[in-house]
Amino acid sequence: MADVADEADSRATARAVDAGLAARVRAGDQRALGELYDRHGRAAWSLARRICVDAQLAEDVVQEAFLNFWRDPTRYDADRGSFATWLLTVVHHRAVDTVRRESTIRRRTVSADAGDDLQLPPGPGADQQALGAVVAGQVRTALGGLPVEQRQALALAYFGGYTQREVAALTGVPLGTVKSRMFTGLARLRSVLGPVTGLGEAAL
Amino acid sequence: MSNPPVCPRTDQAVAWALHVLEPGEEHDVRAHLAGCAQCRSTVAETEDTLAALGGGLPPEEPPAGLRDRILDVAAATPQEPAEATWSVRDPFFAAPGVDTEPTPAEPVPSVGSRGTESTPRATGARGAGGARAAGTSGPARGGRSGPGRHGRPTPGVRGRVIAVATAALVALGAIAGLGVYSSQLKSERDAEAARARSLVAMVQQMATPGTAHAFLAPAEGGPAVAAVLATPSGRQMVLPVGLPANPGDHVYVLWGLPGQGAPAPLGTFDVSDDGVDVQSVGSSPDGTVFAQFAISIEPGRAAPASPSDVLASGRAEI
Repeated sequence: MADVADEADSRATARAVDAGLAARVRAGDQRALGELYDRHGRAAWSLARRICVDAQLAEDVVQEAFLNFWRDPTRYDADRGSFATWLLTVVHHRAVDTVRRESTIRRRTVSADAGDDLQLPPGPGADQQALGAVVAGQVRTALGGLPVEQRQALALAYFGGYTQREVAALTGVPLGTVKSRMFTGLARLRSVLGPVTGLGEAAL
Repeated sequence: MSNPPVCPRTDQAVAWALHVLEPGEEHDVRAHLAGCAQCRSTVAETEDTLAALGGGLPPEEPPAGLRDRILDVAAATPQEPAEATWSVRDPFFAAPGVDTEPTPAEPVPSVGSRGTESTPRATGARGAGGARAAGTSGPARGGRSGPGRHGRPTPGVRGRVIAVATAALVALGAIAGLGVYSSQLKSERDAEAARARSLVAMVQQMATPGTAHAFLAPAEGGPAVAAVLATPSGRQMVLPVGLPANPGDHVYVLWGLPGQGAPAPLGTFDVSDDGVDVQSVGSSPDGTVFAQFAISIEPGRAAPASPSDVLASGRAEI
């Protein structure tokens, strides 16, 4: 129980720190932007790289995500959720759009069993990394608890950047089945991860 | 039993957050999200779960120079809060313009001849002609090419577009109303004259290459209650023809929905009891393209970050 409480504490602390940094960016503080990059740049990069594969495309995605936030910091509203969720959502969307646009050069390497190789990152460090390790472990466990076809559909969609229709074509499964696999898989993940990801403002 | 019924489009909201919809579907779901708090909540929860998924990847070190490059560009880039240029979709909840001040309604500035190079495209005439079918599916993404792709204008095309645009306004009842009112008191006639000038300006603007227009209806295929023009230089004009006068403690808000991104509050306006008035509502950065426009009514006098009660919406057509 103490672990759960500690983890909730560190998550709340991380969120509060991020919110403070975002507020400083709003005030025009470039160093705060650098600190947010230090805290979340690695996760943003890892996700962009996974989706884009091409390093240059991934770099553009991450750079534009941070610079768009710099240009208009009001895009992120701390009352609505964590900065990490917001940033990774932007990076994901931008990366997926990039691979779709660059369809001639994209090399989607997500294999049919993608998601199985999500690894637990190495040991604890400062708050964000320690938290990342905990969350990653639970994410991996949660993914592992999904039926393989749900995990596959979600991995092709989220990490592969494929649309529902494309996933259906790739896997030879009817569109309706693909939709329900994604929906059910995400619902399961949410029910397992919901408390972990700390939805809700009570944590602050 | 006290739980509200689950919205039948929950699965689409999840798919929207996962970004797996085809472009047309994405537009439809976005429009739905604007009016469904339950689905917006689903989107936020799904985004949280997905971020956990994305954050669960084995961490890789970013390129060594990336941090410096970002900070160097930031140092040379002025901040422009609440003036989003929606080149990427932000999470739905993180709508911009939190601090947007109400934009006082002002008369339509004269929209004289603009030395624009390109010609109105065939889709322009078709779009305007489709006024009566406001809100029906149009070339949402296809009709998005910028000016300059279609060669020089010809007077014939321009004239035809003006004619079609005028017909569209007549169909909306905006111009027909003038005849009725014009036999009234002098003060009313003066007001009508001003209205007529602004309507003429609006019609001319509609014929200007690159100007997008939308007819906003409460329901798809229903009668339009307002028309919106968006000029290539980023000005928006609203012609409310079927909106009730708003109480003083509420304000109408015009929203732009980009192809990718959250709805952006473009400005606020009032509707009074005495008829239609073209109003200039807010402005956007040059080159901003909205796929749809919507109007909501909001408590207070300022635009919130995201619309609460959408009254009408419609696709932008060029």
